[in-house]
Formats: sequence, C-alpha cells, structure tokens
Amino acid sequence: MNLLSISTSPHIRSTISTRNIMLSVVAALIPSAIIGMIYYGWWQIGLLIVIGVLSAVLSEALLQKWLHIPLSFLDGSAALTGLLLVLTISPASPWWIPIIGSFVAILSKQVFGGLGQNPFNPALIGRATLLLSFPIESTQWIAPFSHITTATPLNLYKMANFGTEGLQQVIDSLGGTLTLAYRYLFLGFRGGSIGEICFPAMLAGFLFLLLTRVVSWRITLSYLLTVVILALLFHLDIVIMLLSGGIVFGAFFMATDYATSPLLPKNQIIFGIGVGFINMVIRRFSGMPEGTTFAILIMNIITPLLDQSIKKPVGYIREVGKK
Amino acid sequence: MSKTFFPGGVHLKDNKEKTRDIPVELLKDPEMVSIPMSQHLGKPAKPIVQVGDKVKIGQLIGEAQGEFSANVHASISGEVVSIATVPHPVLIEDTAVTIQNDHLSEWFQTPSINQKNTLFSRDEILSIIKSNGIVGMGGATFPTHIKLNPKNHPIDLLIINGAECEPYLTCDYRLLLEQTDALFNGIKTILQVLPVKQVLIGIEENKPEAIEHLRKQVEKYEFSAHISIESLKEKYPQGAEKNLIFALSKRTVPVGKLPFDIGVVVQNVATVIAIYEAVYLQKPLIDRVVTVTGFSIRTPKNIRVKIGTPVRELIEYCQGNIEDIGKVIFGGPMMGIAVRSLNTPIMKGTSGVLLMEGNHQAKESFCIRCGKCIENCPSGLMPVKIVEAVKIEEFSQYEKLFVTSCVECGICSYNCPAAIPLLNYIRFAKAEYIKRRSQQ
Repeated sequence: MNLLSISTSPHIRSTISTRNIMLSVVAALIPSAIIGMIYYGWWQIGLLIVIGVLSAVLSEALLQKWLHIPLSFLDGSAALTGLLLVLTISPASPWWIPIIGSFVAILSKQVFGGLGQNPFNPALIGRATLLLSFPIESTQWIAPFSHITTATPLNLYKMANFGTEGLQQVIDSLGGTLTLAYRYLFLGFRGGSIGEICFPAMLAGFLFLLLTRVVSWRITLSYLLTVVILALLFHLDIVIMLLSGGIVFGAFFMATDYATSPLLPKNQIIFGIGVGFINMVIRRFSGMPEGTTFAILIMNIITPLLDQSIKKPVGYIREVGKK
Repeated sequence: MSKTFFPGGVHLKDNKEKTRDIPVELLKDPEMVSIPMSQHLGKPAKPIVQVGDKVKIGQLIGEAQGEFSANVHASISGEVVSIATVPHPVLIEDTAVTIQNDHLSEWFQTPSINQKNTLFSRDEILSIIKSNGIVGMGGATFPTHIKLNPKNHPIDLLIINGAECEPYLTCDYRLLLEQTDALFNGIKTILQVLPVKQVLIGIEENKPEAIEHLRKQVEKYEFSAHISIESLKEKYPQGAEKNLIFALSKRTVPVGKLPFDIGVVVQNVATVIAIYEAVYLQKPLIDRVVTVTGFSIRTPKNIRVKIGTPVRELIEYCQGNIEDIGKVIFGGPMMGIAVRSLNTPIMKGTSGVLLMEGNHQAKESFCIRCGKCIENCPSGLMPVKIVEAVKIEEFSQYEKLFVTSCVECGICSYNCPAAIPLLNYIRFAKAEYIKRRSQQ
C-alpha cells in the first residue's frame, strides 16, 4: 500500500515567528535610534549602534558554540539586545562601552540556557554592569546638538531636593520658562541616554508594537500610572518624572520584554505596578537620581514567582476544582 | 452586530472562495465502497452481512452495539466481497464491509415522502433517527438519538451550527443555500422531540448570502417566530460546541459538563438535514456532502458522495494531482486528520478532503514566553505551562492545568512563533492523565 505523509493537526501555521517579533521590536526602536543620531551626530551614534549590535550577535554566536546551545544567533534577538543596550547608554560613551555591555547582556542570557530562559532583561543587565563598573563613562551626559557636557534634568531636580527649587533648576537648564522646559522635555532637548530622550519617537514605536499586537498595554500602562500616582503622592513634578529619565523607554521597551515579564494579564499589571513603585522609591529616597534599570531588574526576580499562578479555565466552578 | 465568543480565538484566512459558489455535484457511485463499522463515538457496529451476500442501497449492514453506538447501512447495491480491515483516519485501521457495485442501484426501501412525517410521536422519531444511523456530521460523530434525548435534563435552547469556522470548508454553506427546506423541516422534527421555545442558527458573517437567504426563507414556516438566524464574527473555533453556545447565548458549559447540563442542544446543519431525510424520506445516512479542495486539486468542488467511497475517487473527480499529492486531510486544516492511504473511505463525519503541501514542519525553537497560546486559548488554558509540565514529567500538574478541558482546536500550535507543537504535548498530557486516573 502506497503510504502518504501524515502529521498531526493543525496543518497550517500563522506567519508569526520569533524572528518577525524580534524584527518588529527592532523596527519600533528605529525612530528613537534615528532621533539619537540626529541629536548627537550620525557618526558617533551610528558607530555605537553598529558596534553594539555586531558585538551582541557575535557574543551570542560564540557563547552558543561554547555552551553547546543550538545556534540561533541570527534570529534577531541578539541584534535587538544590542540595539536596546546602545539606546540606554550615554551618547558620549567611548566605543568599547557597547562591546562590554553587549557581551555581558548576552552572557546573562546564555548562562541560563538562552532565549526565553533568562530571568533578567539582558540589555538592562548589560547597562547595570556598565553603570557599576564604569560609572564615569556611563554618566557623562551631553546636550543634544551642542554636545556640551550637561547634567540630566532628573539629576538637577534631585540635587536641589525636588520641590519648587528643583523645578526652577530644571526650568533654568531648559529654555527658561515652564512651557519651554516641558516642550524641551517632550521633544528630548535634554541630556540623557541615546534612545530615551524623544517621547514622540518612542511613542511611535510603541504604538506600532501595540497595533501589531507584539506587546500588550498592561505592563506599560500600569507602570506609568503608578509613576503618576506616586509622583502626586511624593509631591513631584509629573512631567519631569515621566519625561526626564528612562521611565518611558523602560515602560515601552524594557518592562514589556516577554521572557522576563509575567505570562498572565493579571500578573502583568502587578508587575507594572511593582516596577513603577520601586522606580519611584529609588528616585525619591535613594542616592541615585534614576532607578528604571534596577526597578525592572528587581521585578524580573519576582516574575517566576508570579508565574506560579494558574489561570482557571472557561467554565471553572469551585466544586469542580475541589472534587 | 455580529456575536462572538471570548476569551481566545483567532481570525483565520478562510480560503473558501474556490468552492463556495459552485453548486454541489453528485459523484457517481464508485465500483467499490468500504464501509467502516466505527464511524461514531462509542462501540463499533457489528457486521450483520457475510461475504457473498447481496445488499441493496440503504440496507442495514452493521448493527449498533449498545446505546452509544450507531447503525451502518449499505451505500450502494452489490455484493459483499470482504469484511476486513481498511485504513481509518482515527483508528488507523477498522473493520469494514466492502461492497462491489452491481450497478443496479436497487434500494432496500426506496426513499419516498413519508406522509406520517409530522404525525410521528417523540419516541417514534428518536427510533427512526437511531435506526437510520444518524450521527453528528460536523466531525464529532456523536450518535444523534442520544443527543436529542437528554434524560432528566430540561432543554430550553436548540442551536443549529452553521458556523463552519474551519478554513476551506464550504459544504455546510452549500447545504444552507441548497437544502433550506430540508433544514427547516429537520428543525421542525427536532422540535417535535425537544419542544423548545428558542432556536438559534449561528452562521459566520463571511457567509452573508446564507444569512440573508435563511432569514427570508424562515418566514414560510409556522415556527419562524421561535427561530433567529444569528450572524457571528469570523473567529475560529466558533463552530466548536462550547464556543458557539457562548457566542449565541452567553451560557458557559461548566468544566467536565456537557451542553445539555445547561439546557442546550447543538446540531450541525448537515445532521439536521440527515434527520429530515430519515424522518421524511425514510433514507438512512448513506451519503454526505464533502468539500474537496487544496493545493493540487485543479477543480475544487463540493460533492455528494456515498459513505465508504475511497478518497482517491474524490481526488480524481476533482482532478487532483495524484503524483504530487502531499498530505490528504479529512476535515479542515486546523482540526482535520491526515490520512495515510488513498484507500481511506469517506465516513459520516468527513466534512472535507483537503490536500496540503507535504511535510514542511517548521523547526521547533525556544519558547520566548510571548503568552500568545494563553491569550488565544478558547478554553482559557495555559498551553505553555502544560508543555513545561510534560517536559519535566510533572504529572501532578496535569490536573491543576485542566488538560482535559482542551478541545484540541490547535490555535496554540498554529500561532506559536517558536513553532512549538504545543497541541501534541497537550494531547500527550491528556492521554497520560486519563490513563493514570483510570489506574487509580
């Protein structure tokens, strides 16, 4: 008897793939990357991005070979990690910073078994390592276009111990009037990491991810709402809180990372609230002006715990469960 | 506003355009049919003919064994040439009665309008349905006389399933358009058995002609006030019983329960028409409409075929390329079963013959924890967690993860960016869970 080839159902597959998803996120970051290049120089930023992406992909290839993990360094995830890392470092970083950052980022993923297995957001591990190992290079901020060394508005705000005094400091450094200062913050005419400065660029990318259903709104919205509520509670300026640091970039592109955030909608909201809470506590009470990186990394630890919970199926009634 | 169910479900490209507008054609009786004894849930029927016997169309050849079984009838006239195993889509092999066509086309009892049709009692109708071997023709093949007789469960809602949510399939759509009167008379018959006040016919909105046609035709019937033809959003798996019930009535079937526990009976369009044919025309279930389509089929069609016809005949009739055949699927692309032989006979539950390109199974890669399998699961399960539990052999988790609630719609595997065959892991977990529970 002539046998046909068989397989189990379903017999069709959607076009969605890991690579598509990774490339969608890369595409979502392109507006921010371009703004970075316009504000801080095509060569300087372009080079950092190329170095960061290449070293991430190369690190992944070498580590996978060495750790005997199936080779998948071209699936776009390493490139995405490299790009994310570069967008979170200072535009004045020397060329070797993204090499170290990308390597550490990829290492932190591969030691746990690779894609999807890592408990911590790789790019943020890279950034945290740079911040702790090379504090000077990592916090050397420059102003857009002029490239003059400057302090971030968030730092000025904190140094002046917040309040009206702090707000005045920020206004003085950004245009002189409150309206102008807010406009500068909105458009990113301020010191900060390469990708985190321009709100419209980040929003465009995030909306793209929402519309293509790559990410959901839950983590982002609960995170940002918590920031707003705590800003009110701590008597901090909401606009400065949202637009002068890495919160928006973190809420759009970092906290929403699949591997390190919870699976269930309910837990995603808890996760977002947790990140927002820790972030604001660090900003208000710790010695550091910014806390996005560590807030997300700390909540990453809690993700496996949140993922212990099991959703009840459709039609679940208590007696059924007890039986 | 079209209705739909939630949570979960996905929109699929329906691929119905090739066959939807072509009227059903009749396939001439094949030289030989092999009629499996197991075409229904429950015990296989027992062959009651012997090799060498002459049989006529509609003659009983397999007798139901117990309540949850169904009769099987000869679909052509001729001589029984063997009673042996044939390829079977679900059981791999099954005993079948093979009949060599004598081309006399003699009926055991020629179908004719039964004057008593509307005067039958409830029990008479149930016994006619039972003796004529009617089973659910949407694919589940649950014996219909059982489904229409939910002892001790008051029924107040009858749902007619015209969703046809599987891509490619259009056989139910053609029936809705071409056999409208049979459908409504079938409903009338069911109402004699189950006197409910509300009948909902659910049809997905990619079949607007059918919705419109039925809304117009229903006016002719005295019970039209009780019938509502409902437009459904295009969303798979809307034709799955529990999802359809929710979409139309917002009722949820509790875990481990059946629709009649919440007062609902669902019947597929083709089954309703088969009920009509049995009660009004005294015709057993010996043929059905099958959609034949797919990549190497040159003239995709809907054809009425005799039960037991080898699938090869259908493919040849629709000018399929036998040389480059790929996979042959009984049913739709999401839940259909790939058969291993061109001799596999068409059965009562075979709604489609779909030819798909050979095995290009994508390579499974790492789970990126995107959560799409959870988001899209129409049963509200956590497929990714079931896979994890299977991989680490954590059997105690199977119950907590409600593996038996899975309806095997296949969305998790369909949508996984890492190409993980989640449904296969879940099938394994289900089988293992049931095995372990029965051992306890």
